[in-house]
Amino acid sequence: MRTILILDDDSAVRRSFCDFFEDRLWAPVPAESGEEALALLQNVRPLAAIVDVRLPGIDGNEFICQASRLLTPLKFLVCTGSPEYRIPDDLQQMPNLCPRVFNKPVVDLQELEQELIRMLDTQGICSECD
Amino acid sequence: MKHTELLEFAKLQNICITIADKTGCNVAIMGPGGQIIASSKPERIGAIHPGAALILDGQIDCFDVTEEMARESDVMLEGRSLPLELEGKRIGSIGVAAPLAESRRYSAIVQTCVTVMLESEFAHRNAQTRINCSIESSKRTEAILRKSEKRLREMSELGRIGYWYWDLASGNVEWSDQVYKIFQLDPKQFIPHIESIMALSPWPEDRHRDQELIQSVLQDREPGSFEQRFLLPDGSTGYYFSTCQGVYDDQGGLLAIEGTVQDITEQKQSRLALELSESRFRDFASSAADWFWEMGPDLRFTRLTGRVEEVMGLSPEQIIGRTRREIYRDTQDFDAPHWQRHFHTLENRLPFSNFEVRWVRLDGGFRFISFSGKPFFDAQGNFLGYRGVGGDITARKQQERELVHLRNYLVNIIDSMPSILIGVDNSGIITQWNKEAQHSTGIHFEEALGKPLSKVFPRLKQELSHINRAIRTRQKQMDRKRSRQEDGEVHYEDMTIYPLISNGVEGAVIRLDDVTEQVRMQEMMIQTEKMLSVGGLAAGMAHEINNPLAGMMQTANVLKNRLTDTRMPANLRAAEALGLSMEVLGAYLQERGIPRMLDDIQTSGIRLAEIVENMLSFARKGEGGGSLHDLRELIDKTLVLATTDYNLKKNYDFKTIEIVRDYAEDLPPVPCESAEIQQVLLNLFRNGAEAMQSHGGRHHRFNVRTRLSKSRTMARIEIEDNGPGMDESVRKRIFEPFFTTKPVGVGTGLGLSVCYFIITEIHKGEISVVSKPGKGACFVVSLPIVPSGGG
Repeated sequence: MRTILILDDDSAVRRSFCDFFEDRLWAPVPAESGEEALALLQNVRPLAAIVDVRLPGIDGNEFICQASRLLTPLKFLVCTGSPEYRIPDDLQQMPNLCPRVFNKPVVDLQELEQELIRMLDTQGICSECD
Repeated sequence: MKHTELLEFAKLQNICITIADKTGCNVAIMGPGGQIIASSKPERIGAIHPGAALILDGQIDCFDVTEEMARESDVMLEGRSLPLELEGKRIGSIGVAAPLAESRRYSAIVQTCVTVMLESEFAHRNAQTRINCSIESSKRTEAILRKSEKRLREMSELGRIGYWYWDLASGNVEWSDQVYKIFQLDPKQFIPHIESIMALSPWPEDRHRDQELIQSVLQDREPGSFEQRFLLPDGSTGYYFSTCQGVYDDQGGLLAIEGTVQDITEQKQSRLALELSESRFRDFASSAADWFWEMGPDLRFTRLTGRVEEVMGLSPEQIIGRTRREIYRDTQDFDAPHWQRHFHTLENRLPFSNFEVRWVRLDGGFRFISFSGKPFFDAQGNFLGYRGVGGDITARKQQERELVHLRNYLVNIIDSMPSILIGVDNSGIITQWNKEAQHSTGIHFEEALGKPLSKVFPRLKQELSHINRAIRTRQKQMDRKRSRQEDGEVHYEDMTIYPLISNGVEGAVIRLDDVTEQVRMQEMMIQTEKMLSVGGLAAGMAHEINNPLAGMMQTANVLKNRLTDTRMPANLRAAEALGLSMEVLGAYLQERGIPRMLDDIQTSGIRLAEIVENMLSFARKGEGGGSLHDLRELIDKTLVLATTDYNLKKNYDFKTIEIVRDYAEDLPPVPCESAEIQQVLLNLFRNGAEAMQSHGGRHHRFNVRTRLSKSRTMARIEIEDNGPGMDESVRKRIFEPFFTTKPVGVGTGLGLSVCYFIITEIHKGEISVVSKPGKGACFVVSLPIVPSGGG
């Protein structure tokens, strides 16, 4: 089963993602903060992560920076409630980061899933790990 | 006297009776017509004696009445009648009644007696008449003398002519009554003597002249005359005119001087007054005009006096004898209308005044000259010419010209003002009305002038008290942003009333400035400011709103999946474990409207998200530029988006709208934020589609054009619909924030203001709309091709 990390401090949002992905036959792993997520990555190996930006402790950007340094080939997709958010320059060139940023609320969750699958497919990771 | 008057009854009757007594014959005397006027038989008096009548008629000289004839006549007796004649004229007849033989003798005697008596009587009477006549004529002469004397007296009184006689030997002077009257002296108190008379004229210089005059009369023995002043008893001065001549004895020795004296005080006074007024007139005229001129009937100058040479540069000799046509250098002037009118005046022999001409002097300089003149005529009314005055008005003319120039300049300034400027006097009567006032009211300057402000400009009626206060307190009164309704729109104007405080002119100037646009702009600025602050706030809050919103919407999304997705394995598993039929559940949910509710949550969530997004638009400051985009591509992409957008949300088929594209070939790519421009375009398409939809089922069409501006600095997108269009009041406000024509709850009124913000604030471009009711609307978006701000 495909594991996906859901990093969001808003419990309702986090749960809605988890529920959705669960229904779509993913194995969601929720995390409330960047620190918690980094700790989780010691034990679990998700294919992708839905990352909120504003978080208590380290923010989403910082999490992506640190997580990408781990050996796990993790894909990141930013989903934020901050409309003015732009991907910072140091993350721009990161191949594991989806260039499309999703704004909360995500009106069509399927679209977000499609985007993830597309990203995983291009690198063959999906089929490899499925 | 008449001869018949001699036939005096008493005398004749006496004769008749006396003769009858002495002779025994009856005697009768007949007068004119044979009437018996005396008779010895008195009863016959008055009767007509036919025989006597014949005699008096001159037919016969003797009439005998026979016995037979007498018997047949009532009047006649037997006898003879003979005529009575005086100076050859037959004046009567006598008759002696007796037998014919006797009467022949007696009748002759009686005839002679009576004739003699009559002749003597006639002679006496003639003598008497002559005496009477002479007495009468002498009486008449006396009366005539008296009358003429009286007339002379009256004449001398009326003419105030007195007579005096100066006896040289004694020095005594005789005065007639009139002389006393002239000197207003009492004959009983004043004794005229040469010394006393001299004292009546106490002016030494006059006395000296008098003496000279008398001396000359004495020496030359010629009659003379002189005028003299004299002092009246009341102290005023009188004047007399005196003639004088010598009175000489038989040997030629001078005895006396006599003369008349005439009171000329009144004439003298009126002459003095005339002289005074003449000299005054001369002074006036010479100060009013530079020279006098006169022309003959042929309009040639005949006389010139004064400063003519100084002004015209021509001496009177050069002018006299010539017409103006002959002396004017610039004869073309004569064809000008003012000259033509002038000649017309002259032809009609009418007076003219202040006829102004420009006179070019021989030295090349020029003068403005004003002429006034009047025709003059002889006693028979024959035209003799014109005379009048001429004056140099060059200085005045130049001043006038400067004045006119200055006035035009001021009027120009006043008229160039974009404000309405109205001058009023203290009773509210219009004295000034500038072009903007004309333009704004449609009332012309001439119509407005002199009329009450309240009539010509009714909306200032309530301001009269302000105007009065401004005039009274000499302080300007201001009233800003006065609102008023016009054509269903609210207009704003600033009113300032300035009191006029110079030269004692009472009044005020009212200045009205239409500040509607400024007020709107200000309101818009305020709104934009508000939006910016709202935008700032929204940026901070958006995250806080979006997260719970995401919680709601995404959960609703999952909820819908779990309730309605009949193929999802997890759903099927859970249902099976609980023994729940998915079909029954589906039917239940449908029955209770659950999918619709979930959709409503979704739709409301989307709306909320859009509002937040729109509000956030205001938070963005123009950065200028962005990447280069082909506007045609952006438009086409937006049109695709609009199609789906409409299919999805508005249940309106965008595909039924015809899209006519007209893209310019030479349009370069434009630096912009494509998403924002698309947002703008989408908004415009949406609004247009909605407008056309509301307009009803016609063939709907968008004309979409792109153009390059003439200056090649701006790219223009035009989106034209054939919807209902809009009136001017809507058109002006359409980009204002929260302005909407849509029913409450349908729109936020933010759409077009966001477009405006994006285009003007963020992209430094322009957006405008051209529209008329029923004629559709055309939105024009212009974007700079070269990014501003040097980015």
